[in-house]
This record gives sequence, C-alpha cells and structure tokens, in this order.
Amino acid sequence: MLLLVPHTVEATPQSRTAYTRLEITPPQIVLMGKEARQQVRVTAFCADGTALDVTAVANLAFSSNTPAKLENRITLRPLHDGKTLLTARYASLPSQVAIEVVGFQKPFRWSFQNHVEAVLSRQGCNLGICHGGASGKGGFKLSLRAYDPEKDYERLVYDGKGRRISATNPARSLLLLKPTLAISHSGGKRLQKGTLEYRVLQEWIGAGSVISAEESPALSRIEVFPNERVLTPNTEQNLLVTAVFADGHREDVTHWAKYISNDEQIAQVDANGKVRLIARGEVAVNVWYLGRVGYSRLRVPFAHSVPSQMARTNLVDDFVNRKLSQLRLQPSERSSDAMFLRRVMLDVLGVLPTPEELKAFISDTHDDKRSTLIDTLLRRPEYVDYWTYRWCDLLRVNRSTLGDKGLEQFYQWVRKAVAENQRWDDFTTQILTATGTGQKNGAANFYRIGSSPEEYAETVSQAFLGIRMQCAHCHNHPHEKWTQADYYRMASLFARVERKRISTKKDDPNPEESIEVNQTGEVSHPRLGRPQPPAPLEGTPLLASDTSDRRVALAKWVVAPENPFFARSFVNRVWKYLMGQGLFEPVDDLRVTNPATNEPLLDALSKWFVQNGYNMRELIRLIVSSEVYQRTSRMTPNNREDDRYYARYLPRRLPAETLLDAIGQVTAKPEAFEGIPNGTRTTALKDTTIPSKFLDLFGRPLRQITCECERGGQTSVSQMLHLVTAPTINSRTQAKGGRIETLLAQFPRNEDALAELYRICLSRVPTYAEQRELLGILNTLEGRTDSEKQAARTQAFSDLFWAILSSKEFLFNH
Amino acid sequence: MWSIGDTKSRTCAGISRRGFLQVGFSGVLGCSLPQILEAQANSQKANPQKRQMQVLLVWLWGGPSHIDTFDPKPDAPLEYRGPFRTIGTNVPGIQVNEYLPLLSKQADKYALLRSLYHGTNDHGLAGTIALTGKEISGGRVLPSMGSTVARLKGYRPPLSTFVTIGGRMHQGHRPLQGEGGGVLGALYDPFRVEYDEIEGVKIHDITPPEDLTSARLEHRKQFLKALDSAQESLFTHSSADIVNTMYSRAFDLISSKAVHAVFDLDKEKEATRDRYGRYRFGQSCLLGRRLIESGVPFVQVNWSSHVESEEDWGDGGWDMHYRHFEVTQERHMWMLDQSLSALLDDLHQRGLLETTLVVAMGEFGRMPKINEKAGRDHWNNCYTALLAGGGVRGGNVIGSSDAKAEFPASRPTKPADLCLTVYERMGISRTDLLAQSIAPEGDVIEELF
Repeated sequence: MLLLVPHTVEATPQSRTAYTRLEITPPQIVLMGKEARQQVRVTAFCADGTALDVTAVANLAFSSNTPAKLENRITLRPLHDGKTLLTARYASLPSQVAIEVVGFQKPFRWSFQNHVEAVLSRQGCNLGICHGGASGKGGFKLSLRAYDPEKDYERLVYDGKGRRISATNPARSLLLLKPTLAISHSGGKRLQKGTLEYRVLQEWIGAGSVISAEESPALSRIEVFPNERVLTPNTEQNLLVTAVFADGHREDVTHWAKYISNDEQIAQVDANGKVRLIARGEVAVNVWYLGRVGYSRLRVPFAHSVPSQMARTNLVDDFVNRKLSQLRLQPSERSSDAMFLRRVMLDVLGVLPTPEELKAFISDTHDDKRSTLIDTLLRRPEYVDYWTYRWCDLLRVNRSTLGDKGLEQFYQWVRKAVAENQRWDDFTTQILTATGTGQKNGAANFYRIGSSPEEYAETVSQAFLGIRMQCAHCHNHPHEKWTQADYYRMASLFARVERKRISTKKDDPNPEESIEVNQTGEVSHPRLGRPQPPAPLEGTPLLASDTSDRRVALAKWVVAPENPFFARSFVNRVWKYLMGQGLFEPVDDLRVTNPATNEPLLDALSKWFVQNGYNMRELIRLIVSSEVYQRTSRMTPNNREDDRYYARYLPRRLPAETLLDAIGQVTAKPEAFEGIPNGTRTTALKDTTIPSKFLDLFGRPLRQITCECERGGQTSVSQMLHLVTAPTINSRTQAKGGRIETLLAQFPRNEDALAELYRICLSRVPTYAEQRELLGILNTLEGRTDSEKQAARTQAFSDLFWAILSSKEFLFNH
Repeated sequence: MWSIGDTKSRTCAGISRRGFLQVGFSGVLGCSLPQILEAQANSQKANPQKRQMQVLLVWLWGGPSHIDTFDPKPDAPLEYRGPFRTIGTNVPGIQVNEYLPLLSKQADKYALLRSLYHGTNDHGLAGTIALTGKEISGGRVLPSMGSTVARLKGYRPPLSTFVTIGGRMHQGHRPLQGEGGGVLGALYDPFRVEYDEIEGVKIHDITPPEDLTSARLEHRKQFLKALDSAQESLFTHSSADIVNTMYSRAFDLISSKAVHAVFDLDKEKEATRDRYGRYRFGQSCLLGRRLIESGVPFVQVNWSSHVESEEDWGDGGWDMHYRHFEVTQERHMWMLDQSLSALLDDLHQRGLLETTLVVAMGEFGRMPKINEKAGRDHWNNCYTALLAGGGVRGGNVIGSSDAKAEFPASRPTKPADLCLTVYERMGISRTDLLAQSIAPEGDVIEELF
C-alpha cells in the first residue's frame, strides 16, 4: 500500500512538514489465548515533538507466515501460536513491533469479574439511572458500575427465579432477551446480537455461568496511551487503554473503557476513545474501566507569538512560564504599583489601601518596595483576622453548633495558631488528635461539629486532604479509586471518639462536652456487616487489638511529608485564595480524574511547602512575590483565550465580607453589627451567624458544610437590586455629614474632588477620558440659587459615588 | 444570543464559560430584558417541543387532611371518615372528597401518591423534610427543591430559576428553615413575589427608595455606563462580564414594563381571574401559571405563610385542630378545588402541562381519628400528594393507605423519594447532588411516569 492522503484528518502545516520519527504502539505485543485482541496505534512525530495519529492512514504489513491478523485495520487478533513482526510505514518512515501469539489452543472461559462486568458497565446496565440505582430497575438491581461483583453474580444467577440465566438455552436468558429487545425492556435496546458483547454474555452463560476467583486475577490498574501529547488542531487521537492484572498479564480494554473529556469545548471523545481536538488549549480525557481510572492529557498550543524570556522572581514563575511557553500564551505586563498595592492588600489582608497608603507607596523610590510591602502586610493585625476567618470557614467554626463558649474557644485557638504562624502540620495534628474539654483545648471543639465516625472521616478527608469521600459512603466512588471499604477503614479511625456531656444543666442546647477516646467501639461496614480494619486512605491498617488512640496514627499519616494529598490540597487552597482559581477545581476535589492545570507547579509548590516547614506565611509570601501574581489583569491579543494558566491576574469579585468592609471604609461608615463593638471589621467577626442581608446575598458561607462551594462567589440579580435599591450603599453615599459632604467642602473644584474620590475608592486617579466624561456630566448641573447648585452638586457626586461603588472596578479585585 | 439556560451545563453554577462570555459580549449593559423576553417567547413559539421541564409546586402548608381530600375512606368508621361524603371521578376506581367536584372531573390529569410518610409532627421540621427531602441535622439544612434546581440549573432570565409566590413562612415566630437555599446560602433563596387582595402583586427589592426618582436612576446609570466603558479593557473575564448582565436585569426589573407585565394580572381576562378565584391562593396560582409561561424553571405557590399563628380563620394554612370540618367545608376545600382545577385546566389548554410538573402537597396529613374538638391533629404516618403534568401518568394511584388511612398499606414513599423524582424530571442526577453534598437519601418514584 502506498502512502494515502489522509481523508479523516485535516491537512495541517505539520502534515506537509517533515516528520522525523514514526512510532507504533504498544512497543511489544503478546496475544494470549484465542480471545485476545490488541489495538495498535501509529504516531508520526515532528522534530518539535508535535504528534499526529496516523493509524488510519499508515501502511501496516506483517512479515510472512503471520500468526495474527488485523481487523478493521487496527485490531490484532490471533490465528495460531507463533511470532511475527508488524511494520508500519508513513511518510517514508518505518516502525516495527514484535508480535507473539501464545496459548491459542488453551481452553478459554470469560471471567465474570473481568469480562461480564465490563460488558454490563460498557452497555450502561449498571448506571445510577438504570439497574445501578439504589433500588434497581424493574426488580433487577446491579451494583453501581460493578463495584460489587459477588452481589451482582448472586442477583443475576439466583434472583429473579433464575430466569435471568438459562443454562440449557443461553439465548433464552432474560439477560440476553431483554437488552436486545427480543422481549420488552423499559431501558430500550442496549445490546446487539452478533457483537462481541453479546457473545461474551452468551458464551459465559453457555460455559455454566461460573464465578471464579482463581480464573479472574484482580485488576491492578489501567494504563492510558498517550499519557501526554502535543497535537495540532482539528485532528484526531485514538486512545489506547490497557488493563494490568495482579498476575502481570495485560489486556487491551480500549473497546470496553469509558471516556469523558474534561473540556468539551476543546476536545470531544466518543465511546471508542476517539478524541477530536476542536479548539486550542489543553484537555484531560478521563478514562474509567471497572473502577480504575486514568487520563490522557492532550495539548494543542495556541498560535500566538510568545517571548523567549519571561520575567522570573521565584519557582512559581518557572513553572507557570514553562506552561505558557508550551501553550504559546503571552504573559500580560507587570501591574502598576497602585494596582499591585490594592490587589495584594485585598488578597492578604482583606482591606483596601487608604489614600495615604497609596501616596506613600507610589512615592517610595526603593527598588525592593514591593517585597518590603509584602513583609509589612504579613505582620499586620488584619492578616491574622483575615486568615483566621478563612480557616474558621474551613473548620465550620459557628455559634449554632458550638454555642457561645465553644465558638469563643475554637475561634481563639485558630486565631492564636494564625498569629503565631503555627506549622500547618502541627495545626492539623492538634485538631485531629484533640481531646478534653473545649476550655482546656479549643481544638477539641472540632469534634463537636459532627457526631458520627462517618462524618468525621468525610470532614477530615475534605478539609485536610481535599478528598471527597461522600460517594464511597454507599458504594465505591464512581470517579475515583476509593471503595466503600476504604471509607469504612477511614471511619473506623474515629469509631472510639466520644462526645461526653459534662454539663449538668438540663435542656442546655449547647452543653459543655469533653472529647474522649474509648478503648472499644467499632463502626460496621453496612454491606459486609463487620467493622473494617482502621486505616487511613492509603496507609497501613492498625492492629485490631491496639487500644491506643487511632487518630494519632491517622494524624501521623496525614502530615507525613510523603502524603500525596495533604500538602497538595493545602497549597492549592492558598493558591486559589490568592490567584482566584485553584490549580485544580474544586479545591476540595483532589482525584486522579481531576488533574491540575499545571501538575509540575503543584508538585513543586507542595514540595517547597513541605521543605519549608509547612509555613503558611512563607507560602503566601512566595506566591504574592512572584511575577505571575504581579501581572496585570488586562489580557493581550496573545493571551485572550487564557482563563486558567495565569497569563494574567484573574479578576474576581471581592468576597462578601471584604466587600462590606470596603464599602464601610470608603464611605467612612463602617457596618455596625448588633452587639459587636463599633468599627469591628467583618473579617474580624468570629462567625457567620450575625444577621446581614448583604453578606448573605453576596455569598457568606454558613459554615455548615465542609466545602469551599459553600461560599457563593456568584453574581446575582438580587445582589444588584440590593446595590441599587437597598440602604447598604444608598444611605451611606448620601449620608448627611458623610464622605461626599466632607469631600466637596474640602475640594471646591470638581476635578479635585473627583480625583480624591477615585483615590479613596479605586486606589488610582481617573484617566483623562474618564475625567472628561464624568466632568462633562458633573459640570452641567443646573440650579438657580447657590444653595440649589450646592444641592445639585452634592446629589450628583453622591450618585457618582454610588456608581463607583457599584462598578466592577470596585466590586472586583483585579 | 442568549445561551444561558440552554447551554449544556458544565460548571457548578450550571453555566459554561462560553455561555457566560456570550452573555457578556451582548452589549455594554447586556441585552435589555424586553429583548430577552421577546426572544424567549419567539423561541418557545417556534419550538414548542423544546420547552425545558418546569415545576410548579403548590405548597399547602399546615397539613391538609388526606382522608378529607384525596384519600377518602367511605367505609371507615364514622369517627375516622367524618361527616363528608365521597364522590367518584372521571377515572373509574378513583374517589375523592365531595367538596372537590371540579378536581373530580380531572382525575385523568393527575396521579395520587397516597403513601407518603416521615417521622415528625412538627410543622417546621416536617415542612423542611417535605421541601428538602431531609431532616435538619446538626444545624445543616438541605436546600429546598427550588433552591436545588436554582443551584444546579444555573441562573435563568428573566427573573430567577426559583420564584416563590408568598412571603417567608413562619411557624409562630420561627421561620421555616427548609424553604430556601439552606446550606447553599441565601444566594439560592427564592426570588419572592407576594399577592394579597388589597395591594395585588408585591415584589421585594424592586422598588427604589422614594428619593431615587427615575430621573436620578437614569443619572446613575449614565455614571455607571461612563465608568464601565472606561474600565472595559480591564474586565474581559467571564466573572466580571456577567456583572453588566446582572445590572441590566436589575435595572430592567426596576423599570421594565415587560417584566412588570409578567406580574400584571390585569393582563388576564376577567373570566380567567374569576375562574382561578379572587382570593390570595387563586390569584397566586394564576400568577404561578404566568411565571411558568414566561419560562421560570421552578415556581412555588404557597397557600399561606403562617401556621400556629393567632390568625386562624384568615390563614393558618391547613392546620385545623378544631372547627376542622366547618372551615374546610366553607373555605379551604372549594378554594383548593376551584384554583387547582383552574390551574390544571389552564396549563393543559395552553399546552404547558406536558412540560410542567405540578405537585400539590403539604408537610403531612391529618390524624384520621377525629379529636375531641371536632378537629384533626397532625399525622405524619401517611399522607397524600397530587402530581400532574411533566410526564406523570394521569388517572393513576401510587401507593395506598390502610382501611383507616393511618399507615401506608403498599409502596410506602418518603419525601426524599418525591424530591428525587422532581430532580430527576429536571435532569438533575444523584451525582450532581452528591457533588454539592445535598443529596437526600431516597429513590425516584418510577411508577408515576
């Protein structure tokens, strides 16, 4: 066969340029048994590493006497035992792979666990909306995505009066009649006669419907090819998925795996693992096969010109710049001093700079003034307020659960830790292993927010490891490797924690309690009906006879430098708070199938954090000192597509609390909370139960659930209605003796008043265009008398003040 | 141009990144609402089949007596069945109370779920369970059905994804916990509209303070626009772009005639208004239909906003411990019959019923055994919900109660099952709910469809 012109693959510059290397995958092939099948892929590489999947168009030929054949050009099937070579040719480049067929004559039986379950999953039978639902469908229930093969076997073979399987006439089994619509099936047609899937079920029934542990080696993992690849737009890449079993043998499961693209606007994937790259950018295609997950990361760089050198201050820049170069995204320019000051104060302290701070910073002529500023900020008391508030969100420190005393104890405990910059590993350990009364140990209150071992396991996983275990409460996690057994092993670690009531007052809604650890107590796995050996997610189980506090072992595992979750989840949280978007999102959903947008950066940051003693303050310093943090939020024509690789600072709405404080500061009318000393900023409040319609509307979390999603960052019409009609802004902007009256008295000329108002609210002066436009409106005010003119001026400025406070520039950090 | 709501949801908020951008690029202050409304009306007309599923929840707070409405027991002893008689419906085998004559002619349109139960007789807790599918535990309140839909379906113009007709609900002085966003926060609380016979339709936060005249409002918009165009280059980001859209909607809500038109019941024929009934519940149902017609995904119509209050005759909801038969006969029953039947009829005639799941229920039923004050006390062990439209098979009874309507006799169902059924109809999966930690524990009631 001669070189064919690709017809499904659009001609790209690369297809005209020279390829330098051809590769056939997998690199060696053993076809074991008569049912073995193995798809092959042929990839052509350019000198710069860009790849093209040419399987469909390459010339493939066996050397003589082949013991295998190719089906549909891509699938190798055995014919008899023997060896051969398969040669691929494309663009005058060759590539070769050795093929060996063994055990062709060996008797073969399909395995229930490894094949029948794969077919049932592939056909969608065991999805949540079908038979995998909690109560099944039409009287037939399967475990969700085949997490419980033994139970599935029982239900298939023994339940339903045994009609699901017909040993004497396999084709008359309900298992085959229903999904082929030979008899009615509410789920519609799910299986086609004559397909491999049909044959697997039929032959398995024919061979006696056996379930055998010996004949079904456990599935260890899956491998996805290509692991990572740079491609050109409008091309296709066919994935290859290999199951690796405990006995070392491998099976090609590409045809039975399930695929999902994490960004369908960049790449779409079909049921056979064929990925179509439709836009530039980077995408992860997630692969699921019988409870094992993996992904392929595919990248189509943008066509922008990028500088060869990008500014660098620290390691953050190294990794972000590398990513930007790879994707060919240009970094935005460095922010101005004024911009940087406003931004870093809002992100690190949650407060706006005053006009005085602004003037001082701008007139400072030292080269290192930004790092000096960062130093100062990290030592300011507002830093302690702000980050205490953040961690109290995470830990759900709230009055409704803890009562007034508990709230005070826990809040002060967290506050002290932030003020002393306690190591995050120590902080975590003290919380996890806390005992005694809240009075003696504020951290013990952590265990008063929750009541069952299951809840503790979920909270600890999500807050400190960024792992959501909730799914695994009832069944194996559908998108992760976590099993229900993992969940209960984790829960067992908390089985002996007791909230002991020590208050004697009857009907006390928040009685004093002491956290005690008992010598006995277990939590049972509901399906297996017995306790699971206590063990952290990937840690070694404890001895059942061990009566020491199991949480000590947990804490040791959690904060160990080699723990793959602890540091990663923490640095990602801090990164999100400072950079606007986590390297992976949501920040508490760390899993294989949710890879970070910049994995090397996440690795490096985590390692740095561990090596630097889990030092939160230094981590913040590292990030805000980087060039990446200090870029403008303005996009350039050469990075306009970017919303996740940090080519620019991502604008975001101020958090509810910061926004309310900012409004209070610029109007010189701070929010007065009932029962709280005047002048207390919102971020200095101890919890989130103080009534405030504004804070609720703008997304203040209630601290009821351990999920970053509890904080609403969204923008809603109700918020805007509130800004337009409610007193929060209205009464402040036109207050008698308020900011505007003082300002206008101080600055008789409109342009001076305007400039100062800008400094106060937006930390800058108006641009020429703004000044012209706004003065155009302000200077046309009419009035017959001086006092009318005065009143009109005041009203116009207060309306402008309203508009500034309602503008995006004020509402956002940018 | 408008892609919000129709875009395939991928983000948590249910709106894709590019969906946001499309909206943001639609003008300095976004499309105006009248344009949107027009565009939506056109697309609905052009594509009647493409209507998205909607929900209209008729919330009968206080606990309607199941045995005196949709689960009559004519053969039970007198101290159970009470003084009312039972009538047949247009579906053989289904019977209802004699004071529901209009609804008895529509039994082919609705299904009756006669086996609901849960575990509490407290209005507030039961209301929360019924609306959220879960009891409050450790201060944690799940979002109500409407709020869940708002969270997972994202924002939908013109109003909100979730509109409630009725004020904040109270049990005595305590607010009902479960009628809003719960753990998701106030952001997902319903957009609230109220109706009363004297003032008509009332909308909160939509009326500016008196000194903010429309001329001043225009002035402010002018300033905002000037600021916005100067800041434009700074904010080409989805989260910032949407601010313009939101302002545009807010200003439109405040000043747009088109929006007010949705709330303008005078736009209805007198005969239609009469048919629904000239009282709070009747006109609220009519308003509900108008909101459904305008495309709001989840509308909740509340019978009343108080239980256990002093005001008993006026509106203590369906909570009748004494004078039960007197009040239901003279007021509640015919009102429910007239308004609910009007609603079903009207939705049907407008071709909206197929894509609108109507659910009418309270937080529990009433004790089948009549008490000493000729009333019925709270009863959570068994009660009935009525469901119609949205693919529900009419003329259908699911589950049954025992001979005295005291306990489920077959196919017991829980509020969580009903909530999950609503979510399933709206295309919300258990995984979506689990991801937000807001999944009630139950199963979809398949037999309804």
